Amino acid sequence: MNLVTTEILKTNEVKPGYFLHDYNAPLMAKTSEPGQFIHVRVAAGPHPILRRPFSICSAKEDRLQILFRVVGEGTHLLSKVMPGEKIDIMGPIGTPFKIEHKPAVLIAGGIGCAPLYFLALRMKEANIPVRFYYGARSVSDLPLHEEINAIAGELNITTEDGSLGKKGLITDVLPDRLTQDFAVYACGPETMLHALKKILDAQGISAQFSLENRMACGVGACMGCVTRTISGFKRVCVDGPVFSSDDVVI
Amino acid sequence: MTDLSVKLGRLTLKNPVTVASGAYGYGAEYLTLYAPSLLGAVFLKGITPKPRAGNQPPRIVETPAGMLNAIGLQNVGIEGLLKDKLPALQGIEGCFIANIAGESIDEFVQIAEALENAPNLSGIEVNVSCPNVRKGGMAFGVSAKATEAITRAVRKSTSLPIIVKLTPNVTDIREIARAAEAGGADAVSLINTLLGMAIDIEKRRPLLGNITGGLSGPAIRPVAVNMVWSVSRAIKIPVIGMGGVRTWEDAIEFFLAGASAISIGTAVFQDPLSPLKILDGIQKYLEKNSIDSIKHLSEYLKKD
Repeated sequence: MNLVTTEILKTNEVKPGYFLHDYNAPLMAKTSEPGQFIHVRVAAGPHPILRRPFSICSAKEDRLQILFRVVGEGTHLLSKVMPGEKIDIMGPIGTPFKIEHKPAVLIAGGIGCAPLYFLALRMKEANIPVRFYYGARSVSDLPLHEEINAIAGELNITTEDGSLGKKGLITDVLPDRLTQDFAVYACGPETMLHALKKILDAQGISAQFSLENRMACGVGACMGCVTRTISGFKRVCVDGPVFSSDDVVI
Repeated sequence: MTDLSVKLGRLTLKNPVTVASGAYGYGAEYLTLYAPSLLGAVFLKGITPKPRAGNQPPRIVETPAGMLNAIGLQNVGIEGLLKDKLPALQGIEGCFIANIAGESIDEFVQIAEALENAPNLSGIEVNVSCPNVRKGGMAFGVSAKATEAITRAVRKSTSLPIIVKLTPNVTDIREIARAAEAGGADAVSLINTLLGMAIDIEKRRPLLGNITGGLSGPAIRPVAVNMVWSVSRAIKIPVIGMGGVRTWEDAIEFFLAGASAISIGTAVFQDPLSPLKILDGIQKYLEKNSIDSIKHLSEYLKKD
């Protein structure tokens, strides 16, 4: 883990309210793995006091990329920074996805596509076939669907309003049998992970879930970001963010 | 040469900048960023006799220039501290101070005794001020009688210097500080968090799993400065000031109010390097103003 004040190379509002940021961070980019996050300082002054954690969306050469949606004060401030300005970032942090060498099913809900996009990039390099399932409320909430389409062997999209792909929820269009032949990775809202866990549990298979939570320290010190697991409260920041679906209590 | 060392009763710190219990884990979490030996002291996460699971999440909420937390003393217990956490600090230089929290006087004594020969430990902070647990915690710290009794009992059961951490959620914090002094504390530290609450207006539910939590961060600084000021003129033992220290200017304010040392908590989350930046700023301030020792800062407001 490193803490650096570095340059913002590029900002791009890929869909209204969804931003891709590229930061110059050679050391972090080199050591980042899919599922890990960076902890970003959003204000120089006393408010907002907490950093914001964002999944790493890609890491290549000197560049580290995050994707975020403007949901509140912190992300609003972050969306206003410009290329050339400085940013204070800490990372990479957390337990990454464990990449299994068998065909992969990646299931993303909305902004949850960020770590799975990074994962799909790495799987492409490793020649692991990827079936990508990507759902959101509407086409305007599918920020990376074209990029994902370009790298995944198969992309299935659902939107709740039917504006792109099949109308409905992503958990409605999964393959009938998610067998042991596939490795399943997922990231999305709690409702999606809850529905997915039911499906997985019914079929007796497990997946890797990337969870999110509000965080204070981001390094495992404050115990603020815990989630329920079958073996008690675990810190999302360093015990996760990637957990086995068997362990999480959603 | 500016003298930055401070004496807290029998405990001497190389400099007055410390990190507060709860913000710095068990001392090893920030090791990849810098050596804890650069700090005056590191206050470790609060410890209870048995491991504690802590409160139901959500445990943190951001508030204007601050945050609420209701961790609920999730910790590894005294055995975990002795078997895992303190050994992990072996060979790492630094002034590490344990923070202990019991539900009864006996439990405080039990932890203090267990720590007597613990390696790598320079002192004990007696936590009678946690606002987020049902038993013990703040319930002791709002009573002068209980604070004095616990301090005295811990005093008798350890040879380590002891610091009593006070809650601001009282009518007159000076009474509690005097009780800690009477019980034999080497120093007091204040303030712990202010009891607070936040509500989700869409869900119409409390934002914290514990319903209430402790408010910290820059928002509480003026409250803390006032309490440090009034306590430091009510007792003779040194005061460790904390509550919203984020910059070196904030730290200077606490020294002027009467603090011998300061502690940084929430600001570590925003900038883990802030303790080092604050230390540097203090040093430059003293040099610029030709003040040869940090100890002199507390003299300026004495006459007021």
